[in-house]
Amino acid sequence: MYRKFSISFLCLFLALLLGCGALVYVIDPMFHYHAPWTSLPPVTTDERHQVGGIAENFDYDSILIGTSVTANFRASWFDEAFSCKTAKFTFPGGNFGEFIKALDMAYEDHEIQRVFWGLDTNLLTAFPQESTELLPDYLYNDNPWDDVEYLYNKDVLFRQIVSMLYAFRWDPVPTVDDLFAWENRYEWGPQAVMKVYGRPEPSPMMGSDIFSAETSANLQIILPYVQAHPETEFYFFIPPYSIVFWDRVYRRGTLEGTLSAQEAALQALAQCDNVHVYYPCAEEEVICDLEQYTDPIHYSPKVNQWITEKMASSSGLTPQEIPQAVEEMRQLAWNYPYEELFALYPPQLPPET
Amino acid sequence: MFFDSYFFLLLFLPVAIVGYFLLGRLLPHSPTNRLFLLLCSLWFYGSHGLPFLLVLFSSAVVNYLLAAAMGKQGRKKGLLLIGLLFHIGLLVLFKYFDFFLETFNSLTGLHLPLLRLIAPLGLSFFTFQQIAYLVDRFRGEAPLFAPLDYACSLCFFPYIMSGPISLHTEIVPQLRCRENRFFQWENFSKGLVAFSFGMAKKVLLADTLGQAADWGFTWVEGMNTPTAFLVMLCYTLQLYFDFSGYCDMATGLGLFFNIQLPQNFDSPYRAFSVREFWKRWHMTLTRFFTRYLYIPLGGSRKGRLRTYGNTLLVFLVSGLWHGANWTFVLWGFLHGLAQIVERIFEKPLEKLHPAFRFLGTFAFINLTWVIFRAPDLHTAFTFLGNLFRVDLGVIDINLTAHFDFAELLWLRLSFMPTLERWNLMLCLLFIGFCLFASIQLKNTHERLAAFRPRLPLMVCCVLLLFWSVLSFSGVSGFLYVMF
Repeated sequence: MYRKFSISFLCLFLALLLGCGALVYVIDPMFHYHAPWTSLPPVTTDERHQVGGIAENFDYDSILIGTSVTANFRASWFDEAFSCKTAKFTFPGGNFGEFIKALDMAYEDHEIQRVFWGLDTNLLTAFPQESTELLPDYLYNDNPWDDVEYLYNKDVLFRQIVSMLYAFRWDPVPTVDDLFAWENRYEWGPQAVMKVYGRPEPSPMMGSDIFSAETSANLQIILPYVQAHPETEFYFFIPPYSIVFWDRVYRRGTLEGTLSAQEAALQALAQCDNVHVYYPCAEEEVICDLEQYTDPIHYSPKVNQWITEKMASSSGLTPQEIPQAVEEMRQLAWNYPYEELFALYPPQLPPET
Repeated sequence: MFFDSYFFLLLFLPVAIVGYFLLGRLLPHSPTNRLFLLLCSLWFYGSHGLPFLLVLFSSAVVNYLLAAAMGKQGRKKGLLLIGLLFHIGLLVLFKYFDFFLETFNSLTGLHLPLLRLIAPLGLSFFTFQQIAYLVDRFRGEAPLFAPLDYACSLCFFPYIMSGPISLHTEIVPQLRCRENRFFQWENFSKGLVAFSFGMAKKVLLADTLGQAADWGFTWVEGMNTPTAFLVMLCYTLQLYFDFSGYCDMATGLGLFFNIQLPQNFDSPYRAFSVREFWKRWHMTLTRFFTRYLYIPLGGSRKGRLRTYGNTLLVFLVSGLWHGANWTFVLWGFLHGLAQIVERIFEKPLEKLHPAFRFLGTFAFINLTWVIFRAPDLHTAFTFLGNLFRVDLGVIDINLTAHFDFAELLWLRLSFMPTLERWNLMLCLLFIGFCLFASIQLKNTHERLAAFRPRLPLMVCCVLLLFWSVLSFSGVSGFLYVMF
C-alpha cells in the first residue's frame, strides 16, 4: 500500500511536470524556444521577458530599439517604409546594458541591415547604467538547465497563458505587431500630462557643459558598438519630448546643458559613415500639441508614425545641419509662452524643489 | 540551495536518496552510505558559501575533541567550560559583537569600528546542538560517537540551517540502525506527505503573507488601524507557516532517510496561555532551554522568586538568541514576564472562560510578534500606536495588492470586478483561511499519526507540491535561517 502510494505520487508528479513543461514549450509566451506556433494573441506587456526570445527566434533583418517612448512604434511601419523585416526590442526605463545585451543576441544569429535607435535625452544627460539585473537570466543565457524557472513558473502558466486565452475578448485583439505598445493603457491630453507634472521653482541657467561628462560616457558605449558593425546602417533619432519637458529643464536651469548634450551626441554619431541622425524635436506642431502626450515625455502612436515617415523620407541630418536644427529647438524652448499654457492647464503636482 | 528550489527538489534530493540507499544495499557492512550523506549535507550547506563551511568544520572539530577528551576523569568541568566559552564566543563574534559595540558606541559617543561579519546560516542551531552534546557528555548521558556518525548527525541537511534542534543521542542511533540502511516505503510515503504539506505552507501561504507583511513593516508611518491589524495578522501567520513549513519539510526529508526528527510545532496558536504556547512553539528550543539552562539554574525548585528570575532570564536569552537587536530582547522579556504573571494569577486566570483565555493569549502573541518583526523599537511602537489609536480608514490597496493571485486571474477576467475590490476580497479570504488552518486544521504531525495511504491524500499532496514548484520563481528565503 505504501509502495503504491509512493509510486503513484511520483508518477503523477512527473506527469504534471511533463505536461506543464510541454504546454509552456508549445505556447511559449516569451518566445524562448520559437516564434509563435499558434494563432493565440501574444502577451504584449512583458518586454524584459520577451525580448531575449524575439532576438533569438524571430526572423528579421532590422531592429527597432529604445525605451518606452519607442514602444508605440509598430514594426510593420518600418517594414513598409524601409522594405525590411523589423524586430522590436524596447525596454521601459531601459539602459545601455540592456540595449547592448539584446543587440548582441541579435547579431549572434542574424545579419542586421538596419538598427532604428531611439536615443532618449534622459539617457544622454545621465551617466550610463549598464545593469542587466532586471532581465531574467534564464531567458537570456544558453544554459538549458535553468529553463525550469520558465517551464515551471506560476506567472507564465496562470498569468501569461491565461491572458493569451482571454485576449480574444479584447478589442482590438493584439497581434505580434502590437508587442509592447502601451497606448491603450493610459489617458491622453493636457489634463493627463498635468496630472503628473510639478513645475520646478525657477533656477538660474547653468552652463552648456553641465552634461558633457555624462554624454561622452554614453557615447563611449554607443560609438564603439556602431563602429564594430559597419555592415549595419544605424538610424538614431532623439525622441520628441513635449514642451512641458522643456519647461522643466528651462526652470531647472539645465536647458542649455540639455541642448548641448543632444547636439554633441548627434555630431559624434553623424561622423560615422554608417549612421543617419534625426532630430524630430523642434517641431512646434508636434511637441506643443499636448493631446498627443500622456505625460511630459511619452507621446502617442500618431507621433511615432510621423517620426517613421520623417525617417523614411530623408537620409537624416548632416553634421553641418545639426547646429541649425538644435538652434530651432533652443529658440522654441526659450521663447514659448509657458505661462499661458499653465494658466489653461495648471500642473497638479506640487512645485518641484 | 534551499528546499524550495528547483535544483534541490529535482536534482539534489533524488541523487541524495538514491545514492544513500544504493550504497546501503551495495556495501551493507561499511559506513559508506553515511559518508555519502555527510558529503551531500556539506554540499547543501556549502552551497551558501565555503567560508560558512569552514566555521562549521572548526566548530565541529573543537566540540568533538572536547567531547572525546571528556572520557578522562577529573578534567570534565574545565573542558565543558572551554567548550561553552568557545561556542558562545563564536556566537558573540558573528552575531552579537557589532550589536554590543553599537550599543557601547551610542552610550559613550565613541565610534569604534564594527566587524560587520556575516553570520554563517544556521549558526545558532548547530551551536546549540553541539552545546547539548557537550553537556550530555559532561553529565555522562551521551556516549562518544564515532567521528563520522557525529559529523553526519550534526550536518544532516534537513535541519542544519533551521532546526529542529535535534540531539545527537536521538539521531545517531537511528543513523546506525541496521534496518534504517534500507529503503522503507512506509517512511518514504509519510515523508512525501510531510514534505508536500510543509512546502505548501512555506511557498503558498507564508510567502504570500510575507510580501504583505514586508510591505506593512516598511510603510508604518500613518498606517490606519484596519491595515495595521491585517499586517500584524499577516506576520503572525507568516512566521508560523514559514517556520513550521520548514520543519515539516525537514520531518519529511528525515523520513526519506528513515530518521525520525523531533516535533517542533504543535499548532501553537491553539494555546490558552503563553506557557502553553511555548510548549507548542519551537518545541526543541524550549526543550534546549529547559534542559540546559532553566533546570541547571534551579528551575522551579528554589522558591517562587528564583523561579520567576529563572523564567525571565531564560526568555531574555531566548530573545537574544533570535537576533542581536533590542526588539528581540524586549520580545523575550515580555514573554518571560507574561509567564510570571500567569504563574502569579494562575487561579483567577483558570476561572476565565476558555474563549477569553484563547483570545487574550492570541492577542498577546500577535502584539509581541510586532515587536519581534519591527526593524527597531521606534518602528515597533509606531506600529503598535497605529493599532491602538483607532483610525478606521479603508484597508490600504497597497496591502491588498499582494493578494492578486496569478492562479485566479482567469476568474477575475471572467467576472471583471474592479481590481481593488477583487484584491480586498481575496486578502480577507486568504487571511481568514490561514487563521482557520493554523488553529483548526490538523497539523502535519497529527496528519502523520493518522496516516493511511489513500488516493485522495496522494492526489492532494501531489497537487500541493506541484503548485509549490510552480511558485518557486521569485519566492523569498526562510525566515529562521537568520537566527
